[in-house]
Amino acid sequence: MKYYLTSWEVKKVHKRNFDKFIRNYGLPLGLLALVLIIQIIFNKVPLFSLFNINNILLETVSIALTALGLSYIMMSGEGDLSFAGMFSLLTVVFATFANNTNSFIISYIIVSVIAVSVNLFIALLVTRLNFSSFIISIAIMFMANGVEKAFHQQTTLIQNPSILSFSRIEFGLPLVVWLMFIIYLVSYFVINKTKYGFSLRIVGENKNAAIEAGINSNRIKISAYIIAGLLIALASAVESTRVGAIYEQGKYYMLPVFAACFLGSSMFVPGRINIIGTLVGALFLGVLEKFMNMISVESYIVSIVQGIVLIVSVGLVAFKNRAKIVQVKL
Amino acid sequence: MTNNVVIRIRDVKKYFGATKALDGVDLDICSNEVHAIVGSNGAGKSTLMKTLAGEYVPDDGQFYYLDEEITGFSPLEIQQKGIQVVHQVLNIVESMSILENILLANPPIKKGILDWKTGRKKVRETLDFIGIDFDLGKSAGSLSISEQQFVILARALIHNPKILVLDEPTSRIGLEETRKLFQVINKLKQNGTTTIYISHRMEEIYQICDKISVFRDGRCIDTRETEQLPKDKLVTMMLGKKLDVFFPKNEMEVGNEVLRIDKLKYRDIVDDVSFSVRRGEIVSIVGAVGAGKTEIINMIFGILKSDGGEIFIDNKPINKNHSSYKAIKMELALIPENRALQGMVEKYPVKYNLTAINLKGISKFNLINSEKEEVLAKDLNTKLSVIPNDINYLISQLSGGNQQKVVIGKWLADSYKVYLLDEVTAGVDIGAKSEIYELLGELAIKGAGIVLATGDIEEAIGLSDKIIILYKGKVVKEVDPKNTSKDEILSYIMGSEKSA
Repeated sequence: MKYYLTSWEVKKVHKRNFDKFIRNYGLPLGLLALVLIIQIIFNKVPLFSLFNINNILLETVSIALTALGLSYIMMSGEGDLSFAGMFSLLTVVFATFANNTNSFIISYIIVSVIAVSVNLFIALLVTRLNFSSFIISIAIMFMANGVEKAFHQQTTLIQNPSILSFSRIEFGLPLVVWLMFIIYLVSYFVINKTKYGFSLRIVGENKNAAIEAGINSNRIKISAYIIAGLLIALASAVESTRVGAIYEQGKYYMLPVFAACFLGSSMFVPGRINIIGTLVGALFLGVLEKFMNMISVESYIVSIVQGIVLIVSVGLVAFKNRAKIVQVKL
Repeated sequence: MTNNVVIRIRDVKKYFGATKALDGVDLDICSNEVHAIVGSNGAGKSTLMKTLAGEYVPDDGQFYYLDEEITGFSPLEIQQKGIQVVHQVLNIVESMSILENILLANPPIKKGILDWKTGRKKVRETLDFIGIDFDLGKSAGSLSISEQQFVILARALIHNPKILVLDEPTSRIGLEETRKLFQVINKLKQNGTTTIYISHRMEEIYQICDKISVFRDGRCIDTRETEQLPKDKLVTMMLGKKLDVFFPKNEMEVGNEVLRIDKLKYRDIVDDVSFSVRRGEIVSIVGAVGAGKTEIINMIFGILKSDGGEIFIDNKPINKNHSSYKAIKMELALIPENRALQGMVEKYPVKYNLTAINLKGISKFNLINSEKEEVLAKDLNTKLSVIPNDINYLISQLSGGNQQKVVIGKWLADSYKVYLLDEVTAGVDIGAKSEIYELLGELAIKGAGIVLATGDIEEAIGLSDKIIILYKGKVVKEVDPKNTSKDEILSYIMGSEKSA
């Protein structure tokens, strides 16, 4: 016997489909709407001119790469705040070595080694000794800030013009923007199409299920931390060459990086960090920041707005999960 | 096929501090059999199972699989040998699809890329074997508990195990699903798979198992063919003593009505449910998983907000802003279905768990008098004969049955008008079960009304004065346990007999 839906059921199915559509594509649509609104309000400002798109993307690269690193750590079920302090420290180290060695490669390798070793240290404490990753990372964040201040109090200027030109190499789009997209593409592939990515997500979602499936969750977590270290090292090198004048860069990154991840987690399965979501979230925050720069609001207002974005994105996840919360109560 | 030994366990020991969880276990499991492992809570069944799963490394002893000694104890190595364990706790990855959940341990890979197409085919074959159908793309978190149990079963069967270990597989599923599970076990037996079956439910063991091994105090005390071991003898072996009275006879005169619910509704789960409970009366609510038992109990206690209908305590209606706080003020007590989530604070010692709702009696000006607290907790602990008799133990260190006694015990310091109990004997061994039944009988004699939501029909018949049968959220029949049979109740639960 064939079963026909009543009109009420049809409505319900439509509503469900609409909900799903908004969940999956609401964030990119919101980003588009934001850009359009900006365009309408500032008709005279050529936001869509190529120079501006390049600029916005270029400024987003550091946020996007750091947020991707954080996403790896969060997908493996841990939390991290150390990136804010580490970012300041790494940019200063990069600038200092760039001035002393006049070599991009050497400076880049040095920041990579530092970033990876610090993250490895955190990962070992977390996996072997069961330390809370969140608390450790706060300690590391402040320690990194302290170390940074210990060997420099003022702005460091990068002198070598050839190093500075790294972020200005362009093939249609700046080289580092291409690099960012490629890294995201690879990450998307690794997380969603390979066994490693599958295992990483299982470890993050349900540690006991991972144990039963014979997955070595410690090794997976350590690998996530190492990847995050490599990404933040690259982000800080890009930031240093883009800005040229380094002074407490991490201060401006903590909030947007966090907000990018959480905003992205409202896409697809609510509350689950995912690669595409993090990219869209990072672009969203990049555009928002650029917009606020254009209308020249004070920097403290930028922080407040970014804070609101973070709260709203966490709220979105809670709102989408509300049906589930009732279930848990039962 | 000949019955040759596939698993040979010799003198295996596992200690946790001073506790001897396994104290020299000898056990032979033969091929092509369904082998039951029974024992009280804390007898060592779970520890043995975790050892079989490769999660615990035994401290001493030998462990042979097909005459080959197993030395590497990790889940991966054990699984590669062909042993699959279905744990009692369902470790579902909620945000992932059913397909991904079933293929969790080794998803098929083609050229380094996850090959879901092949995986889908494999999963379909396994699900066909079980005789169940799922929309594989759906997230596993949206499934009911009993459906999740089958996802976990499929996760184990997809590896074509030689040995399947099932730990209390029926504790969360309904009767229909239990029947299905037994069909699967029989099919596996024909295909040459050995099943090790751990359960507290006697009828199931006699229905499905060929052999029974009895565990007590960390040892396997005997293994026999099922036919050679009558039920009463098995119980005596398990407990180490004879169990005389299982269900207490309740000769109390019932008093006035103490609780009445009228046309209670909750979403599409509970539909127009009405019944009443009098003082000294034990009323059972029976029904399949998902029939609405838990929802009714939670609405009466104010945890869920009803969508219609009224609740009366002593003929006075409960006002609309009902909450659990008010429920306790009105002298209602709840022993919830989910012990770990609602019934106890796992990280607290037994004494805090016992006194948590009795703080008024042991405190002055909001300061807790720790001496009074100790005395009260010790009193309750002794009364309940919780083992070990030490109120400073963490409740999570106790066995399931003893945990449940503590959960009930916290309501015994004061007297309450109505006790609401939800699956109070789930995962509780037979000894603790009889003690809990005795306790309920005592409460009824003191004049409390008792509502007992249960999936165990024997329990309902043996214990209660009135049985209310639910089917899909509706009361289909109210029966007198004296004039009914198990089969009659079953047919109502399944919905095969319509109410008059």
